[in-house]
Amino acid sequence: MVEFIEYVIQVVPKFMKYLPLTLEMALAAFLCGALIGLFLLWLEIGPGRRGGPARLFAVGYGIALRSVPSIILLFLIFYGPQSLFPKLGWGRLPKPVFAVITFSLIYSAYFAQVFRGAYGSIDKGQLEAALSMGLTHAQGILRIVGPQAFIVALPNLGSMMVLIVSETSLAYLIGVRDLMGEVTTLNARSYNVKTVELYFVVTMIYWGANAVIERFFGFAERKLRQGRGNAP
Amino acid sequence: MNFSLGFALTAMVESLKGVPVTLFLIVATFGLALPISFSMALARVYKIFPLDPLIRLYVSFVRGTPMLAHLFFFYNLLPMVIRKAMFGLGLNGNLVYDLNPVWLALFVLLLNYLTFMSENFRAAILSIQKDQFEGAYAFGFTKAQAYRRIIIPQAMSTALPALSNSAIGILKSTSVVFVIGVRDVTANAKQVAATSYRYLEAYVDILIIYLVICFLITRIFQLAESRIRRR
Repeated sequence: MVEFIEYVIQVVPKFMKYLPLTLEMALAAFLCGALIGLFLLWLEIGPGRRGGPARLFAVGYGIALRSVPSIILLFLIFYGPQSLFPKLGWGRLPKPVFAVITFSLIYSAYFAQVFRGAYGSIDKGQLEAALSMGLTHAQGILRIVGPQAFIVALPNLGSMMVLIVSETSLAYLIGVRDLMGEVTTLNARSYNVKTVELYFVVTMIYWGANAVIERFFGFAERKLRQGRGNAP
Repeated sequence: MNFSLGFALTAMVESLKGVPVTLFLIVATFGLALPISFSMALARVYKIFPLDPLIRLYVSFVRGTPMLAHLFFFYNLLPMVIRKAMFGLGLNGNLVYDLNPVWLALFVLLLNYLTFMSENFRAAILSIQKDQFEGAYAFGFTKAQAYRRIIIPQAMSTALPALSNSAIGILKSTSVVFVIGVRDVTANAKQVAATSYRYLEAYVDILIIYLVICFLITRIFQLAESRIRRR
């Protein structure tokens, strides 16, 4: 037991070097995913007509991306363009980029759902009141409905970020040297005798990082809710 | 462009051999998780003392850590522990190395999806109005009867869409168990791809397989939902 604790304390710093990469990949995927998700929501409820190509695309995209396992898409994005168009130099991009593309695409489908739910939870009267005050439709959405919907969406955005951080661990399967990749390296270097200790440490680091993220989102929600008694 | 249709077919046949394992993992995980996660949800709704905080900790742990790490962790830890325990009992512990990794995969999937499904059930039970219980008690139902006849049927119809999401989540999670050597759809496809360096075709194949299974799961839950709603 003492030996276990000593080893754990000794390897923690080695892993902390790789935590930033994991968090950067997650943050990039979160932001890109949210942007694509907003775009999908716009396609779905925006000016396009019902049953039109834009809406069909948004709905189909949502169904397809939510039913594909992340690693399959990760492998497809990593290997696909490389073998179809070998001259493009796709394979020379830094490997974390593939992970970011994959998780942005997958989570944009979930983001669209979250945003749609949040948008739907805001009373129609809010937009009508904004229009009657002389705001344009875009202004009404951006200044009145958007900020309220954002607060409603926050808890879901928080759990989405936690999920994305955990999912980035899959990136090591295409050779990214993040937290998970480092475990494999250290494991091989210690001749597979410290496997349990190493995975224990890495699990605790993910847990710690995600606990901080959850706290942050809880804090942000409380701050933004202040003085808005009517928000649910 | 080089996409070989012939190889895509060969790879498809190989990958399909993994479908029974994938389906077994989904059905076993979901079936075992149903009763356990429902009990966990009850323990949390009624705030039963040692269980409630323990389950909260457990849910936070599973939500905050990657399943990939659980897989590797238990793949290395469990056989060691079981082996020691079996030797302690005077059995031949080395038998543990003959264990099919499928059981470890099942254990880890269960560990993960128990939390998600218990949250599904908890939300569903909490969504039932208090007067439903009061009405049942007023009719002289015991607590057990009230649950069996009044609460569970209503909670089920709210929980089903969320449970269907969890089932699809299980399907998607089964695609990572190849890392501990389970011969599922992904493992077969990867192997066939690696022997000929044709990854794209194999991955397109399993993409199709997963889409079909996902479609089937969605259909089953839609049917179940319409049956429950009709009552």
